[in-house]
Amino acid sequence: MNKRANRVYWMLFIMMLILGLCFAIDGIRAEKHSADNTINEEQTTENNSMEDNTSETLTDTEETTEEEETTEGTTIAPAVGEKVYESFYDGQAFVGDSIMKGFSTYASKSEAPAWLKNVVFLSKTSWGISSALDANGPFFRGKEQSVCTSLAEISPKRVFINLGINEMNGLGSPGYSIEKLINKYSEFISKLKETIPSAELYIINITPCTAEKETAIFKNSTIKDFNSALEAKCDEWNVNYVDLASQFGDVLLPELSSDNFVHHNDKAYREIWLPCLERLAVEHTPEETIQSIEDGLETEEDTSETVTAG
Amino acid sequence: MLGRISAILLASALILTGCKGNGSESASISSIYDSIAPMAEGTLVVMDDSYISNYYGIDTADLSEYVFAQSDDPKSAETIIMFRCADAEKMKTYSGAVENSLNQREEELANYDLPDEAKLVKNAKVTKKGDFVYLVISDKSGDMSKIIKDSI
Repeated sequence: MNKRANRVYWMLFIMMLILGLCFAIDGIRAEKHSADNTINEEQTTENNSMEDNTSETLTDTEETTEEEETTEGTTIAPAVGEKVYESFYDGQAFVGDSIMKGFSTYASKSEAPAWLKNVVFLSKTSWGISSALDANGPFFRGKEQSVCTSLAEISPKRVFINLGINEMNGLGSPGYSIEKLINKYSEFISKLKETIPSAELYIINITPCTAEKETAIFKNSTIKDFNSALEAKCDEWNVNYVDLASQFGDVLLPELSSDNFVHHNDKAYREIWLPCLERLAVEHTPEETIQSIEDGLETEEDTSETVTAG
Repeated sequence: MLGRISAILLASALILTGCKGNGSESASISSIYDSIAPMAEGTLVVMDDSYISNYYGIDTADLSEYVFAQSDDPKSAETIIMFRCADAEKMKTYSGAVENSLNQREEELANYDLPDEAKLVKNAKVTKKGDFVYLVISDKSGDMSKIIKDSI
């Protein structure tokens, strides 16, 4: 009996030992899995920090450029500029076609400035002035609806619109003309004014295509003619005209295009779009607002110096 | 008797331990994304919370894990979406929003005369497994989806 009991106790002891070993092995596995995840996270952080460094370098370049540019007009410090751009664009709506869609994707990149992060994009590939009032406008908050319905829901102070490039191809077809297209734009503006009466509208002109992709119909001279007609109408409509196209020159350089045609790449968004929008923000922000931002930043600096000294 | 009980206990422990080690624990969304993103044809951009909210109407605070990535080329349909949502009602709404976006994306690409890209969207499907929702639009969607399925 004793021998049998001893055997059972020994068996139990060995089983407990095996059980213990199993759990220990499992623990080691779990630890290894968690270590792998930490390594992945560290790698991601490292990548992000590398991107941030690139972004810092870019920002430095932008700041230098900005200082040079602002010598022509009002000089504002980069820190003040950031606050001005943020207060001008935060929560505002950008409406457009695939070029705007590209800008909305750019806004999610780590190099994109903070002031671009809270912009609401309403963009749709292959969209245009003629279809701007259609019920199936850009997808917004999980729904396909008219852009006017979406804008009424957003209720922005400012709306920035860039439409028309997709219609340039049709201008050579019978029944299509710049005048007819401008009339369609006029209808769109009227509807917007009716929907969001207190919003300021900013019409961004359409940008050129690469010289290589110009055709007898789709050509930069037509784009220029359309922009001239649009600029003239903006006064009549009492909306702001934004000349982005001239920043690109007469043609779109291939190094600024993602498809060597009309679409823009990161370089174009970073070096042309952002400075243009930053200048626009400064131009349309009252001097007293800029002054109060400057004063606020000085007070913040003084407080932080006092705290450090204390 | 004691020996039998001990033997049963031991076998159960071994099965349990073995199962856990063999991957019943699903991988994190970020690690799945890291393993499939390099297979993408173009450059994928992981979209910000504000974009996810404005475009899909999804409040990322409701998701325990997520990644919404799309090509930086507006003429490309390539998209990878994965999220976990414990709230069944919200999961239904959010997966529905992603499903709805497919119709517009297909129409956009077809109108732009990009039939191959439009076809990729047409063939894409929002898949749900437990609290996990995913959508892959890519030339490599078969391989990518298999990795996702094997990881969850």
